[in-house]
Amino acid sequence: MIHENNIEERIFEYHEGLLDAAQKEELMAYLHEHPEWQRDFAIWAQSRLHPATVETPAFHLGMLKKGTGTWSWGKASVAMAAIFSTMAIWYFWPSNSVNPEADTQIIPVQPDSTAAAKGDGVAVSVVDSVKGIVVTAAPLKEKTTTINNQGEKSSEVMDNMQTQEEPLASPLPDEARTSISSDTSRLHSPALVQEQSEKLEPKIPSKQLLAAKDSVSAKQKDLEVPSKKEKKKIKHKFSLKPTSDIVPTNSNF
Amino acid sequence: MTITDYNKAVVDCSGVLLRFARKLVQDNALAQDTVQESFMRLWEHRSKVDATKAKSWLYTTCYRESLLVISKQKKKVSLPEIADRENDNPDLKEVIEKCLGNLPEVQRSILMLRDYEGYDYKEIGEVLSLNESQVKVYLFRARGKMKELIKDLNLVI
Repeated sequence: MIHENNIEERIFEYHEGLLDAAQKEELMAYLHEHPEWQRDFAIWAQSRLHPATVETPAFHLGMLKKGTGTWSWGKASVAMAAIFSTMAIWYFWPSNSVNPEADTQIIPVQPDSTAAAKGDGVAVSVVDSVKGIVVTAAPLKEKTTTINNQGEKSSEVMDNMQTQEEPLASPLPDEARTSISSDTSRLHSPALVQEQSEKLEPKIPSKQLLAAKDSVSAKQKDLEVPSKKEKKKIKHKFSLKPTSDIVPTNSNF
Repeated sequence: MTITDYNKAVVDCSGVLLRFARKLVQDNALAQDTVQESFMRLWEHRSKVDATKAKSWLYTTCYRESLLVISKQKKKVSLPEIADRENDNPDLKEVIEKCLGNLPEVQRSILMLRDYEGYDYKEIGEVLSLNESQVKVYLFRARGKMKELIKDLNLVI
């Protein structure tokens, strides 16, 4: 039932779309009977806000955050670099460059003694007295197994060298090693050789050294006796030849 | 809420939020500050905010920020300035806009959310933390005041 106390509320509800068809018809009938409310009905209709144009503010760009998508430029560049590096590794891989259709496995095989004895490979040792090490170069066998697309396997043993460094059993003393390495220009000088030999000579007590020298001199005397006799014979032989100031040029003379 | 959702909310809602804040605080610069503050809070709470309810969340935040700004501005704005505004003689649209400025903040907000955004009472209640009956009462009062202002200005035939 519409009356003066609730007419404005009904007009409001009408403009809000809250009335059903029967309530709307009742309201229209009341307004037809009471035309003084028709002006208020029109003013209520005008009280609605006019939809103003929405202006996108200029500062909204500053509020945007970076990384709008799931893939940012940084992630994309890293992914591209990974792809290119993978392609480069695949392209320059040795098995791919020789026979791209085959799958090759390289299995290192240690050399056995029989192979060395047969002359297939001999270990060579080089003594580096300055560094005090022994460098051993031994032959190394590498077995290459190739698997074709058809599943056939073919093996091939490749020769290679393996070097190994070991410390010298009796290396030079540190003083000698440093003196040699410090001045290489003196390597061939006799004074240096004598100096180094004196350093390397084991220190033996003087009494033992004298006794050893005496025994050695006695043995040398026994050995020198036949040599003096031979010298006398040789002198006798040459004495028969005439002396001359002319030096013979012919070697067969 | 992802970065994409946040940026979409910025693009979609910044304009309507600015209009909402501008009508509330009645100052363009302050309205921009309010909108930026709202989006900053959205970014800070993005982990808690559902992307589908970002617009309502923004309206709620913007409304509260606007109330803070208005409470500060009330101390500065003098009554003669408001009277000067009412003495203008613009067309109906401008009169309604000025009438809107004279409404209380709650009624103004409800009127804008209802007429600009087309929100129903329930959605308005979620934004402004009111129930549907309160929204209806506030809206009735707001339209009634608007009607009286328009009637007094004799701008309606």
